[in-house]
Amino acid sequence: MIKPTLQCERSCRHCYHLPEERGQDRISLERLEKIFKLVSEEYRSAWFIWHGGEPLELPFSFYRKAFDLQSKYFGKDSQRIGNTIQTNGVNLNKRFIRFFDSNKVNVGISYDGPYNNVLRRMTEETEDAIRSMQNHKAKFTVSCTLSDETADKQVELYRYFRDLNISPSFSPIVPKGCAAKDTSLVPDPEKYIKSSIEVFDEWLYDTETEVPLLPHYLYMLNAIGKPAFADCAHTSCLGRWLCIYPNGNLYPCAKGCPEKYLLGNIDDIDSVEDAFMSDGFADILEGSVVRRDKCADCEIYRYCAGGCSIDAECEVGLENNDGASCRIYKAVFTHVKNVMDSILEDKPDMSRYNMFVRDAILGKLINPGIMNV
Amino acid sequence: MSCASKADKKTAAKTEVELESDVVEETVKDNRVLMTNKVYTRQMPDVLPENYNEAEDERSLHGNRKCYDCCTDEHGCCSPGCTICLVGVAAVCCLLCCYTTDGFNGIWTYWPN
Repeated sequence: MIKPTLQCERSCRHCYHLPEERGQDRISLERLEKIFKLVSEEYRSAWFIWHGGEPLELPFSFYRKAFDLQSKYFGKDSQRIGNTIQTNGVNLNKRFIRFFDSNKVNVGISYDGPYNNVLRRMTEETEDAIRSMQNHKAKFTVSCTLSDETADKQVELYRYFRDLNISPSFSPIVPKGCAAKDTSLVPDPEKYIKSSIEVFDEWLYDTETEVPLLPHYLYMLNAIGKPAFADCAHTSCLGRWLCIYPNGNLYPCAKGCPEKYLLGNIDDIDSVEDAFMSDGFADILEGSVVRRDKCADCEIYRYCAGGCSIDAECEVGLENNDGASCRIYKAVFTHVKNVMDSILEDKPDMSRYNMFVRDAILGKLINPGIMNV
Repeated sequence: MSCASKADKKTAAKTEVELESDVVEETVKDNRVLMTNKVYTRQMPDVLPENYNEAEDERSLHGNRKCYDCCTDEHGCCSPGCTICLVGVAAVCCLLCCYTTDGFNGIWTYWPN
């Protein structure tokens, strides 16, 4: 995870970073080059997520140079790496759209549909960017964050995005950064669970839909097949991700990670392994081990591996489970799994279900070995 | 002079002790991380493979392992090595085919006319 800057003009109410943290600092190309070099030497494959702040506060020339550096260390059009950028879309102009398209960069736009003004600002600019992406036939997803005010509106939001042919990814606010200061934004878990189950059921039988519903679609694949390793939001991912800040500081996660889990600075290390041998990493590992011990008997432990450590840290403390994120995942995932199990057992008329469900079930029936856990 | 050398020796001895304690401290720290990491890895549900990179490779090859040694991470099964092998095999097949079917006007044909 690369945070090229913490600066962002949209100042969302639930931002991981407090206003005083969002300085003008920008990551230097020297630091970027070093992280690419170390990763290329130590890992066979890697995925880079450009996050922030707002990553597109940096100019086009920065990204051209950054991608040249990636090519230098991983090779041109290398299959060893991939890129995702998470943006508010305000600065997403045609030049960026063409560049990301030609470099196969996944684009995620933070946009909450008709309720965008509840948490965010500059809605018109974001909607312009979405229209521009659609006009260029560029692929993208929308990250839709739900507050307590919008937690029960998931069906309405799904219909809104489906009609625009946009794939939405719903996620609840977690009490970190600004949301930790204003906990009224954090959704009531029960309200969120009820609406999340409703939206899954709506999508399940929506035979006309052409968009996957996230994260439910991932839950579904997880429930009938191999766990999706990349779904870091709902699993324990320590040691597989590293986040670099503009000043070169390294953390195990990009979700506004507490200072005590600092892994060092890119300027002071000679290998990525050095970061994972730091006291900060040992601290977060130790806390997670204690929490996962408590999770071991849970029936869905094999799917979440103890859940996100930073979510737990912010909700109930690193060593404890049963926070809001844990309860939401457990309830929604169990519902999805029960539905999928009953489809596999009862073998109903599949024409009732959407094409994503039909494909997944067909894949499972054709070759159970591939998807079996 | 002797005072100075005594002080030097004292400093040298101190530095040595400091270095030694640094090494011990470093080892203890490394052990702490390694031990915790071991427990953490052991806690991973048994569905997760031990070698994550291997699983990634399999997934990037659509569930298949690499076909041959000449397949590479960068090019998969379209590496120059694979292409050369493929062209070579095709050429040998052509030659054998010509040989057995009188393709060289019977000059090298072993097959009785």
